[in-house]
Amino acid sequence: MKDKIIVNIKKIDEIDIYNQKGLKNFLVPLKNFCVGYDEIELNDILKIKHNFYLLINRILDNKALNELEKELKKINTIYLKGIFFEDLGVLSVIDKSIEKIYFPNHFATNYLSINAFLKRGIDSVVISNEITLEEIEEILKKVDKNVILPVYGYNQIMYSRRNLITNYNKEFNLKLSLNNEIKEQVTHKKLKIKENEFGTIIFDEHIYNNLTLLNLKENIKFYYINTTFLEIDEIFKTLENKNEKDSNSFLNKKTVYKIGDLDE
Amino acid sequence: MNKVELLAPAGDLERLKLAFLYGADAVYIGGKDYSLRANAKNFTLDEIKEAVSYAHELNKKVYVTVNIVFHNEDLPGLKNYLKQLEKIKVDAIIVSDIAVMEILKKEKINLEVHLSTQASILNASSALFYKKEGVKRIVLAREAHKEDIKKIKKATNLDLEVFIHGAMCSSFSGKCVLSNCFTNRDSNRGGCAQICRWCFEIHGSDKVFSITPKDLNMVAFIQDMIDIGVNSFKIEGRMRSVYYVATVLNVYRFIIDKIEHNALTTAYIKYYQDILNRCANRESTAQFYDKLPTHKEQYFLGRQEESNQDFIGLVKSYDKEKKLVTIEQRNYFKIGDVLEVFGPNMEPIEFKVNKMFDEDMQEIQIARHPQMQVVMPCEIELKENDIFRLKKFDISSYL
Repeated sequence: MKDKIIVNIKKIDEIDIYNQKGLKNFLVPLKNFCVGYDEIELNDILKIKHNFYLLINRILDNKALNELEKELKKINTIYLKGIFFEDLGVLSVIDKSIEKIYFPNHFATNYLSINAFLKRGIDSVVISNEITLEEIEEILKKVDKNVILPVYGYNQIMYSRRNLITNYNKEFNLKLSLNNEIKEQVTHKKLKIKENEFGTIIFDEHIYNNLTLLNLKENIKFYYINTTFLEIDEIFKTLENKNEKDSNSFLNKKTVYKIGDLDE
Repeated sequence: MNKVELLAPAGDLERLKLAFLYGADAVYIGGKDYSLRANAKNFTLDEIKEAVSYAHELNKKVYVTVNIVFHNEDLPGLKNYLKQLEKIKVDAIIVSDIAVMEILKKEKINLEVHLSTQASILNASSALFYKKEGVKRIVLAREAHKEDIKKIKKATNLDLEVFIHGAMCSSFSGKCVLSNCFTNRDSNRGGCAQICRWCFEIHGSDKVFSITPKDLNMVAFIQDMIDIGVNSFKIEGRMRSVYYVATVLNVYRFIIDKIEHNALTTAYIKYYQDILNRCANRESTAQFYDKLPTHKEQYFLGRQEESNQDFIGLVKSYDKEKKLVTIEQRNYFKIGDVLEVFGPNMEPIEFKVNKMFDEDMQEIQIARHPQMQVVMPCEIELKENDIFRLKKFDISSYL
């Protein structure tokens, strides 16, 4: 099972630590092309001597896409196995020899659209974290290539191009951290919020513990653990115990969209 | 000047007809299923048929939103629905999920596809990806800057549709499931509970933390957008009121027509901006087109929306011989109030309430009951669906 887990790294020396504990697949968020992750500088990425995948999760304008193309040319493709991306424009700047993994956050919710992307030169798709177990099982039965299941971590629930904390700091002349926590005033629900120059990501306050998905074996390329805000020890402890705490996922909670369909 | 399209929302047939009356070249509507405004009134297939027939009589267009992010369970009925829309001859469907394009191809269903803003297109390469799929028009991300629009146009030569007015998501469209987490209502299937308009606290501050953007208002940039090749100017708001739709359309219709006749001045731009801000009860401003939004484009102290009672009434009929107008009252007004009346192709004209009668022609001083019929002497020849509102701005003070 461990050979199919992929984790995003927060520093390059984490690769050795994970490696020693049996994890072999790493997702490296490229500095200036990610939001909501602890990014890695290109110079550090060039030092990696282990197979890895790059993460590009920004929605890119034309200028950023041109800059990305230049950056990618500097990366030694011997170790670069593939790229996870959210913006389909990235397809136009990826070397044909590496894997193309579409990571559309919230959008990979049915087998037909996943297969449509897989037919169009994409090698794998990261499935949405907001669908039920039943839906995931049907997708796994019907997909034409192996796909990726998020199984653990804080769930990204909003991506804004706006610099929401910086703007707030400007309005009130404050210097609040760009890695912060917010609380909704009526429900008191807490959320994590993380901003950089390229936007702001909000995460659910609870970890989505979907480790039960590790029991699904058919058509799986990777099980993805988003390590953002997590310590390595915590991740391994959880993997060993497969504890169910903090689960706030949609695996057993079907969403509705007409107000009349809401439970009283 | 290239012919541009003014595209309006229509939540139901009444608003569709009003939108065309007030100058829309096309409307976008949602069916009962597969539309991102699941809690709007929306259209049955029979109503879509009626809407298309009505629009085509006027040489205008109807686009149908099929723009949810589909789950497995939503797929089975989709093929038949698309075939029905083809049969009805809707002018295009607005789509975000590639699954819809797959079905159209497989089943050889002939429907023009416009790519929804949910696809968050900001660069030419992603636009070209969808052009290969047969998409004829891209509804650009609301985050698109002028330079990106120019580059996308040049690289793709696709029709480009851009939002010009209305509410903004704080997130990229579709990149938000706050609603799912807070209320279990799926934002990408039309259930958005607008959590981004709720109030938060942030660690380290005792002031309210808000992520709510001001509304979008592109009055000052229409000329510029025409020049760079934008084809369609889209107004947000399928759940908005008759008054809102009429006012916003009236303003943008005049702007486009004035540009066509080289008659749009800075004074008019300022005047129109004030009218639009007041009509929505919220401040509106340009957002990403000319810059990255700052704190000035956001609300910080919760919802600063003050409802107003400007909408006085809708004209039901006009008696040319007696010079009497009958209106259906929408808000309190009285003798002595200074109103203005506007309508399709009619700039606001001042109107002082000197005399009025109830439906039995009994003279009254105050019109206090919602939807009561009020009759007033009126020298201006008015038409059904012209609108009376309180006069708040006078163009002469802007000149």
